Amino acid sequence: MSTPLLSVRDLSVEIDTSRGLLKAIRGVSLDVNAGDSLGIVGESGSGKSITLKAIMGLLPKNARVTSGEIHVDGVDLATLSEKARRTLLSEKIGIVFQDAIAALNPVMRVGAQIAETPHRRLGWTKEKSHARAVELMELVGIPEAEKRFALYPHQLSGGLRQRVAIAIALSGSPQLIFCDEPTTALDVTIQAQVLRLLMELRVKERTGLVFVTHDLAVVNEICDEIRVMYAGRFVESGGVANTFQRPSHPYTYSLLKSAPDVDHQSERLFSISGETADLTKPVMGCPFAPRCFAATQLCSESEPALLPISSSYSACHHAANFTEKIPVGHFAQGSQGKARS
Amino acid sequence: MSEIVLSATNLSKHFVGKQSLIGKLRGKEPLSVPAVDGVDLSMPAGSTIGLVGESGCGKSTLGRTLVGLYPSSGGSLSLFDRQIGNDRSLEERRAVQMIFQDPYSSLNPRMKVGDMLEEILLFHKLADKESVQKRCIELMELVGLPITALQAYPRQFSGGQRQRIGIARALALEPKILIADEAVSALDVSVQASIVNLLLDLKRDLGLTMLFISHNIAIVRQVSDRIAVMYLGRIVEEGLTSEVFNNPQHPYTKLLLGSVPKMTPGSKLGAAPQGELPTIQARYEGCRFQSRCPIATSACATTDPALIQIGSKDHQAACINL
Amino acid sequence: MKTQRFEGRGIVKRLNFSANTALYSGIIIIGLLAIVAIAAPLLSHYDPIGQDLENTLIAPTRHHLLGTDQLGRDVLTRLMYGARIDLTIGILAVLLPFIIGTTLGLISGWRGGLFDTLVMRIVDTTIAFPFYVMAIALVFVVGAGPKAIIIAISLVGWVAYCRIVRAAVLVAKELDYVHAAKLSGLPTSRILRKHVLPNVITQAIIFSMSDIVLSILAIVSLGYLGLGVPIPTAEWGSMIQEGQAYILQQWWIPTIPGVMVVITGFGLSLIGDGLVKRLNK
Repeated sequence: MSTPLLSVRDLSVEIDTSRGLLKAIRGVSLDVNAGDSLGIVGESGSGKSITLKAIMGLLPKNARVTSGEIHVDGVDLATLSEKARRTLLSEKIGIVFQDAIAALNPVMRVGAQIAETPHRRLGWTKEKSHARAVELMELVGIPEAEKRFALYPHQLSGGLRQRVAIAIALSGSPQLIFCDEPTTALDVTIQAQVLRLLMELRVKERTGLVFVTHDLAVVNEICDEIRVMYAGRFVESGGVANTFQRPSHPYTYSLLKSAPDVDHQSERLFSISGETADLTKPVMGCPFAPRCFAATQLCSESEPALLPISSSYSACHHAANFTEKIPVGHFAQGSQGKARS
Repeated sequence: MSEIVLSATNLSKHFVGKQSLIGKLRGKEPLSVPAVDGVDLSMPAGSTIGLVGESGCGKSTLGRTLVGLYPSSGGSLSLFDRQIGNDRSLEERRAVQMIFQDPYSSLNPRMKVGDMLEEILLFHKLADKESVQKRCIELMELVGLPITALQAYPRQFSGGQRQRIGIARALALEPKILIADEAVSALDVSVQASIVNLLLDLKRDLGLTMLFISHNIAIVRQVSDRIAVMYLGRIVEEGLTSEVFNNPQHPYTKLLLGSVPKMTPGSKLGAAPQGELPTIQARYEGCRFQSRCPIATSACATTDPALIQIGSKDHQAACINL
Repeated sequence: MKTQRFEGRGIVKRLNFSANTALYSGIIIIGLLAIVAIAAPLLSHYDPIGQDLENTLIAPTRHHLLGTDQLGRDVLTRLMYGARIDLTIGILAVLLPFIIGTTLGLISGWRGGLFDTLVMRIVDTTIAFPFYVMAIALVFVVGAGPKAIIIAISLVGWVAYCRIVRAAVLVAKELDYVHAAKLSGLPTSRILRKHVLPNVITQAIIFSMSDIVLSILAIVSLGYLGLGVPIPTAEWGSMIQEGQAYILQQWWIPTIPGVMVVITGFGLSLIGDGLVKRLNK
């Protein structure tokens, strides 16, 4: 079994907020091999974006990793100096953010931004970096790449900007690409183009993909593996097809029910009632219990561990039989009367 | 056949670019961008029409022209079978109301919620000094907010709650037609469903007709009876939701629906659409979809297709190659 | 334009008080000054302009807490009466520009078109005008004194308010809550009054705090030049001018009025800073 490209064990992250110390990530582990496509889903506040940032060393000033090991291509990041870590990360992992406008330097030409990593971090010559940048622009499907090299980000459309962001992510020839909601702000047809590009890269270059999103339909189409995140931990982990057909956690089940499906028409949209757990307070029992239709006394007392069940993993005391406990009409809800949201 | 409450015939809305003094003196024509360029749309009473399209298609502009925020540049609009002009009477204004996209800029930050509602109610004489408090309370209950909300300022509420306040404001005028302009797009995914459900309930309970403008095609499918697809200022396909989704005719509709990621297991991305989203031009030669159309022929460069009936069903599409 | 931008705000920002600390401290400072100014006759039995040539240039003693000046007048008393003049004219000289500028800015920003273009060109022309040249000209026409000062400051002062409010209106009129007000059929006057104005006036109010400081500086400068409130009336600017000859021995005569200007500026800056933080929450 070859070494995974990325191996994370028991990662925990804390953030200082005005309301107190927030335990944003509470023990997350994952492995990614070459050519894998892993989707991390969850509501906002689940910690999915922070996970990527923590691995890449891009946490904000008020956040820090409190425990866990990260191995990139077999190398333990903790054994490296700050500089060596950044060089290794920029070689092995590229990251694409949601808002390309914010991720691109507005006063630097796009070609120069793509050429930056090879030129400055990998020490390539200016000519070589320029050629590589044009090559990458063509790879990501930017028409008239040589001409567009000299443009500034504001002169490009949203879709092209996101492609530039992907080209920058690819510029260090990484083996793994992190995507943090890269297509949420794009129009649907442009999103399809960008997703197709990522799939092609995965096939052609054997690039691994870790895709963070709240859109289950996207995960369905481009990912093989799925990790469902809630309150800073993975609550379900498994193959996409399997998880979508037979979810082993009530949260996953509810998420699937709440995703509007373009192929079917239903009278009503379902949304999970209640609010996400407040992670500035210590977690008592399962954090999803207050919103869970299958919760019992046990659930509010002890937090379930992520344990194997059939061919996936689930952190639920009732993983085997919660589907029998769905109250009648639970998923055919009204507009929730006195809502707090 | 239910009555048509609002209908647009060949409706246009142009935006005229700024012109310098020198340009004016030289007699140059200012740039005119037709955001909405000849739209025919009929809204049957009690229906929910979903209006979809991508950036630059003009759906927001169409919504704002229908509601009377922008004066139209051409064509005509009828409300309850009566033509209305750019200057609407108070009654006409009340009949069509809008729910805006951005919960953070759609409420006056310096006005308490109750004061905002009272102002509208009293001005239109929908309540008098004695009954206005009661009416405000009713409106809060209608949208699922506590009565204490009336004494609060918008900044004390979350995005979803602000949208509820915006809905209450629209309903205060007792409109017959609601235009929801990306009303849930700026909200968290988990909150979107509750607001959409609220709109559906209100629509049903109050007998409203709704135009639901959104770029989120999956939600639009759940919510609408009829659907209209816009591209570069025109409606290219229109009909019953189930018809259009199951049997899309226009190549752009097929492209659009094909691009939406699906929840069905084993679904993999379809053929990727070609090209970038074009920007609106002042004028087109032939069909405006040619540049990205997989079935374009030479005739497409010279003919500007009109909406034609598809079969015997309630379904129209604007393409000469069907 | 008037004098240079008052750099004192930098100090206030670096101290980084909380909104309320800044606001209340500023109010206390200005409040004390105002009380002293109003109650001057009660606080001091000396005559601010009465000369006492036997007791000139006395160093601070029990009887004259800040000593006397070259004509035997009690310096502390003159400071207190000077506060009356400077504070009053300072505020009055800001009121008129505030009202004129805000109104013009509101209409100009809302209507746009030819009216807006016209107003903006007048604004540009006015800014180009050298303030002190005009002040001198006015003094010749109207005569020195508070009237000339207020007219001079008003003639240039309205411009800043006009621009600030116009810019805020341009932003506000594209916001959805203004669209919603239009859709609900409310008449334009009501929309401007109740929806637009309250949201744009905050910027103008915050600016007016700095503006009062600038006005006081202008008054003091004019006084120093001999163009302001004529001597022998006690006014900080003329006190500095008259006292500068004595700066080496009786340094307090010209210096302390200057310190008063700084304290006043500081207090107003604090209020402005506190308001910014409060109103932007």
